[in-house]
Amino acid sequence: MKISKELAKGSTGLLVLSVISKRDMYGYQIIKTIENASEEVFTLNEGTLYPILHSLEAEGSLEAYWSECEGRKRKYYKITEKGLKELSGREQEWNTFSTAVKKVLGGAELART
Amino acid sequence: MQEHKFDDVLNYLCSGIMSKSERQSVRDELYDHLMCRYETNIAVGMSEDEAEEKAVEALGNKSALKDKFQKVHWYYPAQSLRTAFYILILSMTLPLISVLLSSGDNMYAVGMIASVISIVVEITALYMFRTANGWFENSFKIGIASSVMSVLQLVSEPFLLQWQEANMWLSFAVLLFSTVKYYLIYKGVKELVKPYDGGKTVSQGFVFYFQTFIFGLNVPSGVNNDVFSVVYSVICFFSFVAYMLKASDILYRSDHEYKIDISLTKRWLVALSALLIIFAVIFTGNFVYSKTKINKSHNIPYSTEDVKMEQQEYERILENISSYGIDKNLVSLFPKSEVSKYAGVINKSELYESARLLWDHYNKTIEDSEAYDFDRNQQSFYDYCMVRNYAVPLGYSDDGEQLVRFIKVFRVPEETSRKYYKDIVLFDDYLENIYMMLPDFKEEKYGGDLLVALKLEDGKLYQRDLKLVNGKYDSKNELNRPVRGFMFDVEPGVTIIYAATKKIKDIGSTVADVNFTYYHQKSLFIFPLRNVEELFKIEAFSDIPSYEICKYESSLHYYVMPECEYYVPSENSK
Repeated sequence: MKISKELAKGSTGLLVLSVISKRDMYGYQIIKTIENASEEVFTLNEGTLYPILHSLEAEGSLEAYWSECEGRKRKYYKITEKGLKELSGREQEWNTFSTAVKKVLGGAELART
Repeated sequence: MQEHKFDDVLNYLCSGIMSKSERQSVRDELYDHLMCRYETNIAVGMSEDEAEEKAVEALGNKSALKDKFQKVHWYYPAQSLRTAFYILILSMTLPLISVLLSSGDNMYAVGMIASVISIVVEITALYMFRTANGWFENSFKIGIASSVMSVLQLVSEPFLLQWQEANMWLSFAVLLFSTVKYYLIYKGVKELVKPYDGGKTVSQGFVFYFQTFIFGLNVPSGVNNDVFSVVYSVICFFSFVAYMLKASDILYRSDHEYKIDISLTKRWLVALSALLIIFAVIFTGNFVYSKTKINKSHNIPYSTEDVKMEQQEYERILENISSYGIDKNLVSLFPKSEVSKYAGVINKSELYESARLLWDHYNKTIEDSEAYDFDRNQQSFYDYCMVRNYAVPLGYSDDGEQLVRFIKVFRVPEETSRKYYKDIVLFDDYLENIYMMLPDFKEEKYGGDLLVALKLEDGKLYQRDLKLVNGKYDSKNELNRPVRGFMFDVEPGVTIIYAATKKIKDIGSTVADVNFTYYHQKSLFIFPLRNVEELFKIEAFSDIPSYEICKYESSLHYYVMPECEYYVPSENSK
C-alpha cells in the first residue's frame, strides 16, 4: 500500500536515524533497508534521502566517513551521541502520536458500532 | 564510460554548491549511488542504456534536488569558515576604527561604542576559530584576557585620574596582551593556509596590518600628522583586508578539513553574553563611582574674616553694595577684603539723576540669566546654573578714570536631582589680559580680582580648588594661540563669584564679556568629560553633542559714571 507523501515526510528522519543506529550504512543501503523492513510500504527516493542525510550530518546527529568499494569512494554514515538523543526523542514523539491516533480511531470505531 | 554519462546529471545537481570540496564530496556520493542503482538494474536484466536511464530517473525531480543540496550546503563548514573569516577580519579592523574615532573632535563617544563592539566581535570570531588549531585556541584565551583588561581599563580610568602611573601600567598591560593575541591569530591563520600557499599570503597581509597601526595611530597623536601617513595607512588597511580575503578564499576552495565551530546559535549567544557583561561592568563602575568621593574637589575651610573691619562700617558698605541689586546673602559671602574695596561706593539712591538714568538704561538685565548663542533648550541651562551680572561704581582712579567693580555670579541650584561627576565651569578666556582673572592680581591699588567657588556643607562654608588649565586655541581663524582657562568642579549648591575692577575706558573687556562654558557630564563612561585641556581645541561656539553645554555671552555693558560727563551709547551698542 502506497503511503501519502505528507504522512511519510514527517517520519523519514526517524526512519533514517533508526536504521543507521543499528549499523553504519551508505545511502543506497539505507533506501534498501527501509524498503525491505517496511515491506515496501516506504520507498524513499534519492531526492528525499540525501538532503536529509546531509542535514543530519550538518546538525551533528550523524558522522560520515569514506571507504573504498568496488573501485569507487563510498560514504558511510554512523550515528552520534547527539543523534541517539535525537532518535530517542523522535521515537517518543512517534509513540505518543501513534497511540493517540489509535485511540481516536478506536473511539470512532466504537461510535460507528 | 558510464561515469562519463552520469557526469551531466552530477554536474547539474551539484552546481549550486559553492565549496569545491563539498561539491566533490556530494558528487562522489551520488555517483556511488547511481552506480549501485545501475548495477542493480543490470542484475535484473536491463540493458546498459536502460539501466543508466532508470538509475537517473530514480533521482526524481532534479531541479528540486539541486535546490535542496544548495540550501543544505549553504551552512556547511566551508561557507561557515568563510563567514568566520569575515568576522575575524572585521574584528581586526574595528580596533583601528575605534582608535581613530576616539581621537576625533566630538567623536569620543562614537569611538567608545566602536571599542565595545570591536571587543564583542573579536571574542565571537576567536570563539568560532578556537577549535581550528592550537594557535587559535590560545588566541581565544588571550583574547578573553585582553578584552577583560580593556574593559577594566575603561572602567577604572575615572578612578585612576589621580594615579597616572597606575593608568599607564594598565595601558601597557592591555597593549602587551593585544600584541600577543594578534601574534597568535597570525600564527593560527598562517597554519591554516600555509599548506596551500606556503604562508606568503598571511605573512604579507599581516605586514600591512602592522603598518596600518604604525602609520594610522600616528594620525591622532599628531606625530607625522601629514597626508602621506593618512594615505599610506589607508592603503595598508585595504591591502591587509585584501590579503585576508585571499587567504579565506584559498581555504574555501581547498580540501581543508574544517574544524571551526559553525553553530549560529552559539555565535550569537557568545556575542550577546560578551555585550551584556561589558555593559554590566560599565554600569557597575558608573554606580560605584557615583557613590564615592574619588576625584571630587577638596573642601578648603573658608572664612570671610580675612581682614579686620568695624561692624558698623561693614554694614554701611553692605547697604550701599546691595542698593545696586546685589542680594545681601550673596554679599555676605564676600571676604572682608573684597567688601573693603567698596568703601567709597555711593548708595545708588545718591547717584545723580543722569547717572541713575544711565544705569537704568543699561542695567536692564540685573537678573541676567540669558543664554546667548545657546541653541539647546534654555530650561536645561537653568537646571545647572544661574548667572548674574552686577556692576558697582567705585569712584575714580588716580588718573581720573571712572572705575567699576564688575561681579559675575554662578549659582548651581541645590534642587537639581541630576548627578554630577565632573561638571565643570571653565572660564575659557581668549583675551590677552587673562592674568586679570588671577585672584592674586597684584595691582591692589584698584583692587585685586576675586575668583572663588563656595559650597555650604553641614552648616559650614568651604571653598573649592581652582585649577589652571593651559591649552592652545586651534580655531580656523587663530591657530596655536595660547589660551588659559580656570576650572572649578561644580555640583549642586556651589556658588562661583568673580569680581574685577575695570576702568571705563577699558570697557571692551568687561566681566560681562567673560566667556565661560558649563560642561555637564551626562554619563561617566560612554559620554565622559575627559581631557579638559582638549576642550580648548574646540572652536568657540561649536556644538559638542557628548555634553550638555551652556555657553554664555552677554553683549551688554554697564557704564556707571556718577559724576562728570558721561557717555550715552547709541541704541546699536546694546
